[in-house]
Amino acid sequence: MELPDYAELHAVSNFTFLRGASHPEELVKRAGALGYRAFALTDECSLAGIVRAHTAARDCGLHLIVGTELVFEPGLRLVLLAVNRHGYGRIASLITRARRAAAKGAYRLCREDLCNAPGELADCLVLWLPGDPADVATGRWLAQAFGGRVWLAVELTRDGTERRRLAVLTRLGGKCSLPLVAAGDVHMHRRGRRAVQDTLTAIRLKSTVAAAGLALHANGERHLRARDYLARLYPPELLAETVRVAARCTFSLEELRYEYPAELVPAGKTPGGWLRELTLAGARRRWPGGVPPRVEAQLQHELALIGELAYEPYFLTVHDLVAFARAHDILCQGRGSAANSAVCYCLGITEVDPSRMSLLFERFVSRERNEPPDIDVDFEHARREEVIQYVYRKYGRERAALAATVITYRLRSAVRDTGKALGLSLEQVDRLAKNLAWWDGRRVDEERLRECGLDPGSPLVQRVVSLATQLVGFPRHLSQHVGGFVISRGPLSELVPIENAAMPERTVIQWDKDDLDALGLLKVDCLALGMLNAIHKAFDLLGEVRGQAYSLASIPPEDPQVYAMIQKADTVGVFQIESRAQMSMLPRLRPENFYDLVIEVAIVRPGPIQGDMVHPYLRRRQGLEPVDYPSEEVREVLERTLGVPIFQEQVIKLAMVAAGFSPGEADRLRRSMAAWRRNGELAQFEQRLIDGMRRRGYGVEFAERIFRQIQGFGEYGFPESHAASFALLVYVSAWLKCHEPAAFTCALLNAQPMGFYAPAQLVQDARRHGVEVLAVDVTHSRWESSLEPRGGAQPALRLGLDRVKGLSREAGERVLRARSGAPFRDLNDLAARAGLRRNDLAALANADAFSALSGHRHQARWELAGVEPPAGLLPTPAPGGEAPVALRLPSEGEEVAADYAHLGLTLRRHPLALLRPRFDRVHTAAGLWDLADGARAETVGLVTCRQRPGTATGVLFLTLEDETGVINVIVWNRVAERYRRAVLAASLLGVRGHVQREGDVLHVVARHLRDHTAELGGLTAASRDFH
Amino acid sequence: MLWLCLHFPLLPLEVLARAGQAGPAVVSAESGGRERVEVCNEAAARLGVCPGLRMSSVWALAPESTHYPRNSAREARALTRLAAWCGQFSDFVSLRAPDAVLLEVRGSLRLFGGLARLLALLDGAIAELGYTAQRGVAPTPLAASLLARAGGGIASGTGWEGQLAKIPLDRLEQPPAVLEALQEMGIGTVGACRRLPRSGLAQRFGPSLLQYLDRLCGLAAHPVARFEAPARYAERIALPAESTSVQALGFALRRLIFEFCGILTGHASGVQTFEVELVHERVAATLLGFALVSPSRDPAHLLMLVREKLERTTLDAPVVEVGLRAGRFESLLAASEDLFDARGAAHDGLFLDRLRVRLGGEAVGSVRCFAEHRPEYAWGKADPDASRTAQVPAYPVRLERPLWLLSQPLALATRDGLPCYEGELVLYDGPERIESGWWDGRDVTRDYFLAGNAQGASFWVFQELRRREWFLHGIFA
Repeated sequence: MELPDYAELHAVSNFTFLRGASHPEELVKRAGALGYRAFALTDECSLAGIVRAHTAARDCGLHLIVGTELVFEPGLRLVLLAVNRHGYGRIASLITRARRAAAKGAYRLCREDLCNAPGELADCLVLWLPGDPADVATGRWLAQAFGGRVWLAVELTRDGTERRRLAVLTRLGGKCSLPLVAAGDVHMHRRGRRAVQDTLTAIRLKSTVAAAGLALHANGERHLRARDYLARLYPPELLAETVRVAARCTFSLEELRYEYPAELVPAGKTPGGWLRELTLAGARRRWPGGVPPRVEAQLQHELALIGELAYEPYFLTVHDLVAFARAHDILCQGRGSAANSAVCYCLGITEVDPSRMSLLFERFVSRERNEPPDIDVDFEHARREEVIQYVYRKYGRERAALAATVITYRLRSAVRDTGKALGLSLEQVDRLAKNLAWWDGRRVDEERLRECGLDPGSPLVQRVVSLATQLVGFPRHLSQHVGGFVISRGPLSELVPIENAAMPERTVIQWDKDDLDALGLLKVDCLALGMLNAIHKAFDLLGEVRGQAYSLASIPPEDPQVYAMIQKADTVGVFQIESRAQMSMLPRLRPENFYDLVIEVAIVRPGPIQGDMVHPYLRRRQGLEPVDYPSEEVREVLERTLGVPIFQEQVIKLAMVAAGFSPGEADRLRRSMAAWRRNGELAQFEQRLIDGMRRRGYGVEFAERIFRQIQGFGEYGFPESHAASFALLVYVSAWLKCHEPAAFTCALLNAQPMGFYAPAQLVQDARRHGVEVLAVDVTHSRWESSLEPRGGAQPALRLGLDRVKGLSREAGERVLRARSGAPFRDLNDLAARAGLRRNDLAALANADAFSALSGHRHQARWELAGVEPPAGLLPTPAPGGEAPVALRLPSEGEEVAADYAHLGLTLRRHPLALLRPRFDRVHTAAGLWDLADGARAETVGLVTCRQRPGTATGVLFLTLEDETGVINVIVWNRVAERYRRAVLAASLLGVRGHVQREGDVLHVVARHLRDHTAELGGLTAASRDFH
Repeated sequence: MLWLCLHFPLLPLEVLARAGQAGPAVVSAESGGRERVEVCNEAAARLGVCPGLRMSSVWALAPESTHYPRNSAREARALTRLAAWCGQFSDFVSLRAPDAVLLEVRGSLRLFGGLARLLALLDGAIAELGYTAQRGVAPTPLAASLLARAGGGIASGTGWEGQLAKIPLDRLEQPPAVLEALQEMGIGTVGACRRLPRSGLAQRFGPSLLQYLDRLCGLAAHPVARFEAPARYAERIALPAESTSVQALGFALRRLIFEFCGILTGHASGVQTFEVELVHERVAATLLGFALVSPSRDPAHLLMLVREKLERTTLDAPVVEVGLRAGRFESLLAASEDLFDARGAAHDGLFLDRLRVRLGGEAVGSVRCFAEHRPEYAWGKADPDASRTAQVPAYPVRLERPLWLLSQPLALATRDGLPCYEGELVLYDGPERIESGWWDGRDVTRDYFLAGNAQGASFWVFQELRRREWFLHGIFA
């Protein structure tokens, strides 16, 4: 028998959440393998999976049709297929309308939406999925409204009634004059996904598979079926009709063209001319004494290239955002390949001075690399929302929306949902999911199952594990991207559907950044960065104290003192290089100039570490290993990093020069790198890369190392262009820490939460550097922490009322307003004039903020309890007649504990100093430095930080603190497992092990841990939680 | 007056795990939107579990813990039973909810031979019941209660107030906010609190704190409500593991009977009819009825009776809980304790009871439909009451099905690839494909057909899709 031609016209992927059981790529590949003539992806009211399908279809040469399944009302269920670009736009708009009318995740359509639509939907084909029994009136109406463009879909799923149904539908088609066409109601690419599909149904219904009953499909027929099978099921003319329908749908996503907003260019100017004008004006501002000829040449080169690739509107868009931020005193900085250009420096998008960074200039947007320009702009965390609102205001919600982030199932959520669907008790599911914190992401460990009281061998548990593993990576819902905006000239909904996000007043498009990237659509990333906040605050504080204006550009470059500080890893609070991993690298790398910082930022990342690049680089830098290059081309790419690839750009360039990749191939490689964990596409490049290198005479070892590095970069790779922008913030924050520690710490406190360290550690660090820190005091503190000039070189740092836990901002402001009138006489006076509620007063008393008015904490609390709550607006007269009560002075331990409890930090002695008599035989943080490498050590400290870095598998970093400093502890997994409880829960931890020293780096490698938390309770009469 | 307070700190756990609990165990309740530990046993505490901890942390610290959700209603019932049980030691018993009982013991001292002997007796008996108590003895109810909560102690004689003064303030039965405020003023003990000026205290904490302190120290009268024990008993104990052995039930039964008889003693009564209940997981409980010739409250006798009956009982299903119920007490004021001569009569009742149980409601059942794709699971036996209310599921469009389903599909021989049953079968409709049931290990993949043979009979047959074998599953009438 000759196989009939067939096109599948009705299929949902797993982007129809909790219904479709296959990825779009799987469906497309399978349809291609089965020799289908075309395949329509028709996710329910969604185009979220279409770009993935499109990419896969392009790769296997399958005709992909864009469509959607929509339920208007019971009995009116349609599939719409796009004939051409216009039809596509109408479908996207209709989805947008339906989605915007409902809460996140839902949509709403009614017959009226369709009644108004026939004209609008002129370029769409319609498949009617009739109910049972089918409504003849609806059929007639559809035939009349969409004459010639509407079919009656016949979906036969082996329920035993095919023949009867076929007869019924043929009659119905005759009555309504609708042609019949075959369709598959496809939910999965293979029959084998039946269990996954049943599980998804149970999850959707919040039920179990056993209880879901008839809501499950009776069989696994809803998959892509072989053509000979279909031939036995359907009359030939119904199959032939699918191909005729498919042939009418000629639209491809390739036709989408991005059109920049028009308002970026003043009337009468061209984008190119306007960009040139702005750039040259910026250049004159940057170099008032005349633009250096080298920069001038670079500018001309860049502008020409931008013009050639027609990227002017993109640069103008970014410039517009940055100009808005500048005008509103919002600190920002761009990064990304295009950001480190002379043009961007002149436009004020970055502050990385090209004359300081000559090396970077070669790697501007390049013609050969054929990649769209990429500029991310970081804004001050606290003020990014203003920028976002500006974008919405300027372009309107019809033309600007955030990109989506596809939230997918992770092992933990997959186990939770499948466990519930298979009827595990809530308690078991909970236990299992909790235990996953210790699992490695994709695989379920048998030991953990046993620990949860589950038998790994039991069929139920094996089913949960197998299904959960299949579910990992399935999309679950669309969330908003952190800040990637798509802005268009016309209505955006003609390009991609827009839906409501969970946040009110936010909308997201149905595509994520990889989708946009795959279609070559541009987005502008408006990201939030806490450090910009802190730097801005530090500049403002310094402006007040020093009487001069500070900016990113005004910080003196290449200050040797700053580098000396960095080399000692004295970097608590400094941007990026304050993590444990970074700190242990600094004394070995010993950065001496700005470019070293760029490398430092990029090298302590999972990519380079996984690719084994760190140690070769270190050895070469320290002169322990010769720097050599396998060829002259490779030297050119790797010379600036001593022959070791560190940046993403270098790896791509290597693929081109050493393995002979074409620019197009290299670009595909770059995209696959970002997504390889998701779809494993990278594997196809492995052999090509290695063969290519060997043909060009490179050793297998070198080739394999490069491939490993590419894999490592995948998820975490850091492009040099990003590293450069970050390095500038590293330098600026380090300069502030070095020269203005009081202002720097003050700014960090006021920009919390951010960074690795809590206020307690920041304040400890500042005091170790000689900054005078003053306590919270209602008679002196402002709301935020502030600087008080003290005659010395450094002002004192006064902690703000915002440090007081449980005090509302509004109450704090009331205290300040009352104080500005006249100083407070006593506590009653304050309570009456500031009109504070009792819990605000209590928060202040607990924080010891009344010490200037009423003495110690006990006294303040007693007095406070006697204050009458203010009645109305009249200040209450103080109950003057009360006899004074002498209350016990709090012990130092009580004060320290109360400080931690109510302020999160103390300015008194460190708790360890008080407990030292009990721990007088162990080493202090300072004492450890007297030990030699390898010596046995025993120490104890407050746990300030627990880190299980993605960069180092099998190891846990703990940071302890005592009265003399910090202790860095390394706990290998084996030890962490044995002392799991102490690792997880201890606030005060004892460590026995040995010292590991390398130059200025000291770690204690733990062999034995002990939880001493109970000792903290001994500080006070009644035990109290310390943190 | 001399007051004895029994405080049961582990009551929430003990009511749920009375049959003994090996290994760590915790009781949790929701607080602040999170499931948190309310009470844990010693084994759990050794692993770092403590009250207030989130359950998620418990799973990290002590993953092998047994976990019970808190059941306050059960605690209240247990406390009532304990109060009734205490009636054997004092004429005046008062409830101090949620977890303590007060006894006026001045009058009991002579009867029991002094305080020391009374307390020793109590300690042993309470342990026998499966509870843990801390006891306080003092001249005022509140002081006795305070001592009990502070870990236990006796404050009598002239210096009793001095003993009280040393007790940490956080044990006072006062709102947590008051206690916290006092502690934050550096006031750590009852004595320190009493030294503060009365007016200042009243201004800050209102009159209730002063009243409490006055009652505590006997400066103000403190009326206490007498507890009247109800004349009935009902309690169930969950077994640590389900069991079919009569021996394993003995421990739990002993606790029940011991408690029951204590309550009878406190009530000056005996029992003539009671029921033992053996609860199973899915089937109805097994009930054992007992009728005595005359009332008794001797635990040894009752226990023996129950044991004898149990040994003659065949358990159809494992037992998960054991219960004891008596709806009526008989006054035993004048009765002597030697009533158990009438074993024969008891045996008769036993026999009848067993008969009743054997022919009871279990034999009667009905059929109902379940929403299931697999035909053999789409119907089943059900409790007649349940099936009356159950709805018939809305079936999707599908092939016709017969009413008569074979209990086991019958394998069919084939000829030329087609099935035979009383001659060659002709497949005249179908297939209806059923692929379902992977989740319980009984996945089916079948094509069902309507088939007929030469005799004109109609059958429902299927081909199993993996092995391609044919089966007969139903016959059309």
